[in-house]
Amino acid sequence: MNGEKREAMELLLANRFYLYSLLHKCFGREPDRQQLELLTGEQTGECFALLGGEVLEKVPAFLEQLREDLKDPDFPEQVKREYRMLFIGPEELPAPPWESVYMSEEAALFQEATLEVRQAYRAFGMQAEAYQRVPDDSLALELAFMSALAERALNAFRGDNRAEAERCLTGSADFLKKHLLVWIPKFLERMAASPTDCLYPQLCLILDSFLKKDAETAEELLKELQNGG
Amino acid sequence: MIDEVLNAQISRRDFLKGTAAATAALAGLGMVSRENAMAAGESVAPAGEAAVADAAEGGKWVAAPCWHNCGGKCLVRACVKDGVIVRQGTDNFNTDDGVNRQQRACLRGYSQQYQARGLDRLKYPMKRKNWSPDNPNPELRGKDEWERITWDEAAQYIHDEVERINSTYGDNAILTLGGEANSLLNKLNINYLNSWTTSSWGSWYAPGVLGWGDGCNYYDCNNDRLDFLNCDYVVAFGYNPAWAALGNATNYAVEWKNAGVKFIIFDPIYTDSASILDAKWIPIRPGTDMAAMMAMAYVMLEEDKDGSLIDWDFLDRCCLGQDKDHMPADVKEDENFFDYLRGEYDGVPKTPEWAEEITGVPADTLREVARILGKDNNVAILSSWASARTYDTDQLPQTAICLGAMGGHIGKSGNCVGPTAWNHTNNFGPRLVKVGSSGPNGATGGTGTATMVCDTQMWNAVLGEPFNPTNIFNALNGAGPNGWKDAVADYDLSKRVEYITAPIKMIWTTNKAKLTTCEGVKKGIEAFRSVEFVVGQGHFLTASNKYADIVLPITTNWEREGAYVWEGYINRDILLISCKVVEPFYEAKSDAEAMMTIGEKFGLSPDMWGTVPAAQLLFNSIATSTVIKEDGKTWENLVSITEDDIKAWGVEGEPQEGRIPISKYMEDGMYRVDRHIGDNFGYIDKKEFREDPEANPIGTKSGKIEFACQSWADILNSQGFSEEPYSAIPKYRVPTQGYEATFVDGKIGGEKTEYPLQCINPHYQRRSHSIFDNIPWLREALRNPLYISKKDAEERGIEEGDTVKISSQYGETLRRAYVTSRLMPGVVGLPHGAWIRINEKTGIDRSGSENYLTGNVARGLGCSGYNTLNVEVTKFTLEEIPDDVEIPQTILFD
Repeated sequence: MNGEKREAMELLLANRFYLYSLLHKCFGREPDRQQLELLTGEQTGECFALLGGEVLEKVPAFLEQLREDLKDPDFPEQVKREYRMLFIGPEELPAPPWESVYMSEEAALFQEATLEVRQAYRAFGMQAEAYQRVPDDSLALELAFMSALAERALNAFRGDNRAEAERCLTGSADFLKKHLLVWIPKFLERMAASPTDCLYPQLCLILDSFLKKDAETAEELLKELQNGG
Repeated sequence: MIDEVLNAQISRRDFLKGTAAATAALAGLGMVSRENAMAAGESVAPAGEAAVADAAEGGKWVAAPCWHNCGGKCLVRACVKDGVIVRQGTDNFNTDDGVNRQQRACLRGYSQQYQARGLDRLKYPMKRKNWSPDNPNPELRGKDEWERITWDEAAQYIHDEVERINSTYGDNAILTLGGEANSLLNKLNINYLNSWTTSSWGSWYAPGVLGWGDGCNYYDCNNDRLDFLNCDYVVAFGYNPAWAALGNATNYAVEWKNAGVKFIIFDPIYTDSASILDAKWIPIRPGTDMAAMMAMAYVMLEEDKDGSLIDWDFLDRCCLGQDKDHMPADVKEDENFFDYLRGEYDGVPKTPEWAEEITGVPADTLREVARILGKDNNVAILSSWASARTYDTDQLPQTAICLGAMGGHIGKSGNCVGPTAWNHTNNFGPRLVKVGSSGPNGATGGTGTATMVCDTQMWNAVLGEPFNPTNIFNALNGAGPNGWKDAVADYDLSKRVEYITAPIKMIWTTNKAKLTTCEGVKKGIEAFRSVEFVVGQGHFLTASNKYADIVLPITTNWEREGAYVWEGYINRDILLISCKVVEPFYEAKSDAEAMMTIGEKFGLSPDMWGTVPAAQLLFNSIATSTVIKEDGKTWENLVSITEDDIKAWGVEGEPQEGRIPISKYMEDGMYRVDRHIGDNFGYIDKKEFREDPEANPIGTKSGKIEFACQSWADILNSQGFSEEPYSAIPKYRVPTQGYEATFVDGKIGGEKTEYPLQCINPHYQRRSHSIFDNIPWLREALRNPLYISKKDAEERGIEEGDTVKISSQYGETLRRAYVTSRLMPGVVGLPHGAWIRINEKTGIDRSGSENYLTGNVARGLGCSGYNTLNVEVTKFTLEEIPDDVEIPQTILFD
């Protein structure tokens, strides 16, 4: 493996760690101005655009627009309102952010998908902080898992622990295939019913494209590691 | 992708630096919410086996009985794997034969996990966005946005408002709906308002004064289910367990039918119960059962020849008030029941022809049934609560008892008279397996007490109108046949109760979802929007919570320590026990924990709610639970307990012998006493009384059955809600919003009013009252239509499936029509318990909420007159409403 290639791989690994962490924050906490400023920072657009594809290439322009929106002092409040309507309730959530809702026909939480997801977390020594009180298969927790695995893969790669890097990338690719790539497209469909579109409906579209790209990226990185001698 | 990076026009070094900087900045951002955070490290459970093909493998079955109030009280068991319900089951271990049936769950019990783990559960304390103590914006209740707050913030807000409102307005400024907040207000020495309602019982709410049980708190008011096999006939007024309770309540009645018992059922609907019981169906107009009973009594009197129909001996020995030779000492008017029937007092003999005009039952049919009610047949007369859930029928229970007494159908095998309700699974008589005592829990109280307001006056009371503050009917309901005299002892029955007003500025709604489940939703919304502060707590965003300022998420029974489910209100043959099934959902707390959290802001110690651990209390009550022995007289411990059990429970206790091991009881979730014909567990109501009424008096003032009951008349006249005086003997009253009221000036056969139809509210299999209505499974199975007769539909150009508008003088609601020949023309059926879904623009409800149509009418003993409601139904062409299953959950407005 030459230096350039190694550097490109590190860049991709760091890129996905950043993007998963960013998405985890975005879906995992009520937004505020600071968070929106981080999201709209120059680097975010470049990180998404680097991966290519119709949607992700447009992210810089979308973030540019958001930066404009942020000049309105009320904008963070509008985004917060959207977040509450989409992810907090207590009214009906147009697109409930839990995998089990899309994997079974029942409008219920703590279903079999929850157990499968939990198993995947445990294989990497992780579990939800509010274990048993919250279903493990929420969007935010699945992103937390992906972010943690991305960080481990990056660190392992940097520390030349190829086996660990491979294990983490395999885990990520499997999880995407079995879980996120299966339900996020359905989730995205229902997101069309969002009453507003300040940020989150678009971010879900970006998420969907990113996950698909990341599945390819993870596979490629994995193959490269395995063939890299 | 690697090639793309290699070919990209970027400095990889700079890009990496930029990403690292952005990642570091993210770490500086605040934490994600706790429910979205991942933990790693030693606290994490080790990875288990890889996924197995059968998700239930490795799961543990626990007892999770249905705790809802339909009456079935059935066993649900849950297979729990790591906090996830992977299967639900029911009683599959007891035998299931003719006499002993498994206590199986119905479709509602089977959907329990979709309720307890439903997407629509409340997860966090929430505050209405535009509410603040200084600027409450009350008009925005029900349409405002929400903000998430912490429990601590919620408790502080509630503390501040309770303190402010109580110190500013004093007594009765806080109205609690449901009972959970009362423990806190009591400890704070705050006097508050609470409500009572007859909504289930109707006029069977306080029959203790007549010496009878109400069918719920006092359920030894009919013979036990095996004795019903000895009936020739069951004559029932409204009798539909197949819709109301499901499960064994119907099974038992089918057993009777199989044994040859013939059913005669008066009901506006040819119900599923009537169908499965091969009953003779007698269509009758709602609210007119008293007229039918009186006419049948008249026929018995008219046609009796030397005791061919009437049990004169029984009347002579056991009854007073039937004729002038048998008058109780305390009657104020010289009136007896037989002379009333003959028309001596009002010039109107209560002939079958008289009744036919009112009830719609052909006179000859009434004659036919009257002859069946003669003394030579063994007859059980069952008057359902539904029949009594009508205005101005406050003497219906008395009329039913008189009718039964005339044929001597009291106190002997195969004969009884009483109310039916399904709390005890259609199985009357004393319990065969009894809940023990938990012992004191160490709780301490305060001096705060409740003044009671009847639901029928409640919303108007909130809006400042005077109301009847007497608690007498509620007290009578609790006191029963042997306690009612003490319950009225403190009241002056010689004068009319004085109404009061209350400065109600705060509503605290806990369980019972009163804004949906109590009459007059429109008025209720007005009441909610009139006060300064509303707190709601519960499982879902029910209407009550939707119109609150602060909403608290509460655990379901599945998330709490085990308990006896509906102690004593279940089938007498069984005793159910529940376990904690899963951990609390998100930030939900139990009602008691919520009160402790708020109480702490007032400086109250949580110890005031009890110092003994819940597990110890439960253990104590299980250890002292007893089961009857074969002799039917002596009792033994239900459970045996070993030293190991005590250790496993982590409690204090002594080992003991018992019928079954405690571990088995907890795993099964129930114990059943098996019955067989001729066993010693039978029960015949008032048997000893019949044999020797002097030695074994019933609970009436005279100790005999009172055809003329001055006590009940005095109570109604002094404490009741109607102006027109009641006599000691039952007299037919034209019901408010009954059949007569569908005619201009009440003239039967004349011109119809703008609300020419009578509406009834049957219990519906999709729900237990309002519970479960939000479950997509059940919505798919049962569509909650408006039932309308073929004739009425044709007259209105309505076809099956059409969207129709049902209007009353109080409100309008939409449903799809179900056109049927099983319903008496002139009557429509709107199932009870739908969650309101109001179109704010038109003011029309779209869910079929019966309470959006009902009004706040206070009559007699404060009866909720659900089955007396005048409506019109029209085809609604402005929009077609979708099937409920296609409607998203919990949207109360659209």
